[in-house]
Amino acid sequence: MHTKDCHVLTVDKLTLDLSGRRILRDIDLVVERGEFLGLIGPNGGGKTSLLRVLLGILAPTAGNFRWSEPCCGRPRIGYVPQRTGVDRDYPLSGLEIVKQGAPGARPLFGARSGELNRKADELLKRVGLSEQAGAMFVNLSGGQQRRLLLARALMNDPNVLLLDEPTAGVDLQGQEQFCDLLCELSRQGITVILVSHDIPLITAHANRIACLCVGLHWHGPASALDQKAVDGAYRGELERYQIYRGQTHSQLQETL
Amino acid sequence: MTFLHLDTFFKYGFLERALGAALLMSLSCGLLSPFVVLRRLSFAADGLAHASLGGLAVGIFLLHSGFTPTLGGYGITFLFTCGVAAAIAYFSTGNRLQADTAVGACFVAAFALGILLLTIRRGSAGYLEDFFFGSILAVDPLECWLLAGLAVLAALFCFGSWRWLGQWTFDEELARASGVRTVWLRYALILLVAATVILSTKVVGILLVTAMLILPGAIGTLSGRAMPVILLCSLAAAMSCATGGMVVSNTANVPPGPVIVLLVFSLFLTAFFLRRRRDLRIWRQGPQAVKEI
Repeated sequence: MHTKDCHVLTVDKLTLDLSGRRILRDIDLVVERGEFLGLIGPNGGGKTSLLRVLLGILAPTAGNFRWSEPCCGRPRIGYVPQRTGVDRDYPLSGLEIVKQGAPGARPLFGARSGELNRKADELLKRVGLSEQAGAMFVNLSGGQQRRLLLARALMNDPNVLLLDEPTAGVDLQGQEQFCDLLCELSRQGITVILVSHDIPLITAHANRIACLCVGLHWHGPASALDQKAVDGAYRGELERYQIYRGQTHSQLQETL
Repeated sequence: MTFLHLDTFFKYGFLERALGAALLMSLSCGLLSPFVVLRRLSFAADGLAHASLGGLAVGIFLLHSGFTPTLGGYGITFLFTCGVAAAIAYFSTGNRLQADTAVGACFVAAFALGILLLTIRRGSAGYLEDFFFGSILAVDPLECWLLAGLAVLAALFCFGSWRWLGQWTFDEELARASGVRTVWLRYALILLVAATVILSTKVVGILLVTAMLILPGAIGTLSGRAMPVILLCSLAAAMSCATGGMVVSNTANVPPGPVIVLLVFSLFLTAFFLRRRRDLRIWRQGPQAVKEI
């Protein structure tokens, strides 16, 4: 199902200024349906801002972006944020939070409650959180919270998934499982755009990489990412992120 | 039943109106309270309650009237309180100021203006006691209708935007990313809270109305893990305490406002300790009672 017959996202000369500072400059990017795109770059490089523009939270200063070609229809977008502003005592259970992601859900009136519960249960099982369905969000570990947010994003049956550093603070096994799940979703035709600082992880799983530091320094197939491209985005400050092509993620972690 | 003097509520029109006003106020507060608590607007609600003194004073000053329930007086108080709410929203938008700093700054200014205007217009200070502690027995039919209208608006807001409210209470940015108009929800909730504060001053007074906007929601969040349960617990707590408070007040001949608030606080304590007891029981049962998370 990995079809690449049309573009799902076209970004054209996109520029973003915030508080008098240039955050993004002349970004040109095309993302195809079912593609797994990894976005890398230093802190303050504009990765999260680019996602926020694509989500419609921020308005670009210049340039534009367009979701989907007519053949794909308007995409449904699922979003997993870098962090949430959830209170320490936020009372809702994991199951309820996942159900919030459903479009047009009105569980108060009960008409679709059964259907929603079944779908939320399936998604919790898929992300490995069946046992934690009744737990409060704040009682979950960081990795479990990210997986719960992924399940919440999937309630909408999205065509596109935007994920902002979902593997930050997650152990190696958890990172692998999370990215394997994203690869599986990508194979099913869901376009995945993943922001991460973990270059070995992202090169091991993504189809394509884009290096972002205000401008788009490099983009191409993950297998073609080299040290020069990374240096371009990280301004040569990232000596420890050597690129070891052809190795598994665990091998890369051992090497690093 | 004779002991509780329930029959007297329907014997006298003013008592019937008082009970109706208390129930209608508790309906609005019970509906709005979970969202006030979950969106951390408790201090904003308290600030608006205090700021409404400024609005009341402006109303008295402009209309040359006492604390009388006229549409004009309510209108001026409402507009003033909305102005304070808008100022709070403006100062706290983006990174300008922390929300609690903005609330603290705006409500003391409005409160100070109120005291100043009431001092200039000598003779109005006598109405302050009614304003602070309420005078539910003096509620007139107009106020009952206004409270009924407010309850309808609160219900429309709550059930009409149920799905969006749930997303908004979880995470504002995530809700915005899902297309929820969080700015509209915030303004609508603040305006409804402002209207509730103003119309509830006659029932429990501004010093106590905040309790009705916070405690029922807090009871709900301590009792439930799903939004419908939280909302139902909040509504049940608010309405049962309003009814109970009126009955106790009528029986013991004590002011109803403090009794209502003390009843809802006792329910809050009960919910808190029941929750604590449950948590402790799970902890004492050891690791096998705790789901691995």
